[in-house]
Amino acid sequence: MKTLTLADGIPATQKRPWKSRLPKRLLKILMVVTLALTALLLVSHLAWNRSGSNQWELAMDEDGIKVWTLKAPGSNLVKVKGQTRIKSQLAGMVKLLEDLDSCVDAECYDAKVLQTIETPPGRYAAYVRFKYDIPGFPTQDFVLLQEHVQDPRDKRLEINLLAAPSRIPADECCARVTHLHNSWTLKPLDNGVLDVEFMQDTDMVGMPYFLVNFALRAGTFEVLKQLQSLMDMEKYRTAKAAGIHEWSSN
Amino acid sequence: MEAQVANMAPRAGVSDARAQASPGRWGRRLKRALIGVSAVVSALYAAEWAWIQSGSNQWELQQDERGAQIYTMKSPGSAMVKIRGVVQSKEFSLSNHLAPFLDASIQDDCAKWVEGCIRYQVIKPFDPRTQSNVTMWTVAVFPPFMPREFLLQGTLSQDPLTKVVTLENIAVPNKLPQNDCCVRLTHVHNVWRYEPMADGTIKVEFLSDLDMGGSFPKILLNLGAPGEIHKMLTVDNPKQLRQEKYRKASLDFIDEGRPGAVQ
Repeated sequence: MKTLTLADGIPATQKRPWKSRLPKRLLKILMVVTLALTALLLVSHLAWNRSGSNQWELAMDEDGIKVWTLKAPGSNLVKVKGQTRIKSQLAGMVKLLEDLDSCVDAECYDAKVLQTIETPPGRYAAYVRFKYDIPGFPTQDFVLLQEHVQDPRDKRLEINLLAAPSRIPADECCARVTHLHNSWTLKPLDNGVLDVEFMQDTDMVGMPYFLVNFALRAGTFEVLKQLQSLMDMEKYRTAKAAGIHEWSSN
Repeated sequence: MEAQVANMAPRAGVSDARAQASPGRWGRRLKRALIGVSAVVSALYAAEWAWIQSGSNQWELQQDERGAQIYTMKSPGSAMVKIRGVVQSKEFSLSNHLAPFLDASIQDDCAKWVEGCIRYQVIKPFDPRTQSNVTMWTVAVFPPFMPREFLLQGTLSQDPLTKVVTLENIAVPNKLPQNDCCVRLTHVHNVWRYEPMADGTIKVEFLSDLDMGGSFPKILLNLGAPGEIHKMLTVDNPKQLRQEKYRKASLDFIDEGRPGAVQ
């Protein structure tokens, strides 16, 4: 004799226990949440991309270091500019920024000069290459045109770094940086003081732009903060740089 | 009358049923549309990811017509392909090839040199001491995309032994403040290489490595640029270089001598 249960007589679709319907329901919720998140991300991305005053805006002012950011509509990346003053000769800064042996202090490696370009007095230009590790992201492979020009009147030195990604073939080891236009302006003042301005317009390959923006801002501040202690090191304090004229108030 | 009522009753019933069913039907349609859109978006992302990871990192011949070879190189990790065009001829001297680089009058008719060019400005004239200049090309692209600004530093160099002349154009996006009208390109490294050969010909190589920036579809540039570069090397540039003023040009800082010649 068949024993009747409460489920007898109920259509098959309604017979399925609540637990067996759970995956489908979960899937539906997951889909809706994913879609909502995607829509939110898309809208916030568009809003961020279109935003920006296209003007330098002060973002930090600490420990004698000022950092500004510039966001232009249409760009996902911000440009970052920092300024500080340090006690140093121009030669020390030139050694730090252009001598590839100094890579060790900037945590870069495999640095080499690819080609030095013949230049008139007061100007220097060379194609260089070095690598830089960022944990969790591809090793960044920098192939750059590095150049400087010194103003003969006030001895101000402008150092430009430009991405020249096609100078040498791509290396499978790393991600070649294709967007970089950074500059340093070093203006000697009286009493051995240098006014230092550092501008970064860089994209890190494989890194989301919001992280690049954060890293550029924090990195600019950190670099400027460490400059004085670096320039106090013997090798930078006593550095000589060919063709560089130091400021003299006489 | 009863019949009419009887006839109307079912219609009203159907209408009510439709009215009640409508939200459900629209809900199902919306659901299908959302699933469809998600599937398409996911497929696009997956395809883009696969494209970026792809590539042999080797030059591959794409076109070999009318004396010009066009190669492309796709490197893993990059969304853009690099394009290299090679052409060899006896028709133009090194000075003839390079004269337009120093010609400020291109500002008057830049579209003859670059398709879609609406403005060409010499920001910093060529300085023979530094062998470089800074120029800006503003180029219109099809709607809804904004015009593109190529703010470039051009640097000339010549190998004293081989006489190979290299002209490198590198993006310097911060040399001028940003303009609201346009998207300023941040990734450009285009290289012209002129190699005098022993038989008196000059081998011209053009390497294009750029990203149009903004939301301009990379696929359009990747697909369209090789053909455009072939046309530039075989038709457009030779036509411009045949102008009398370029034919007669003689640049004193360029050595026209053959490779290996003792000075």
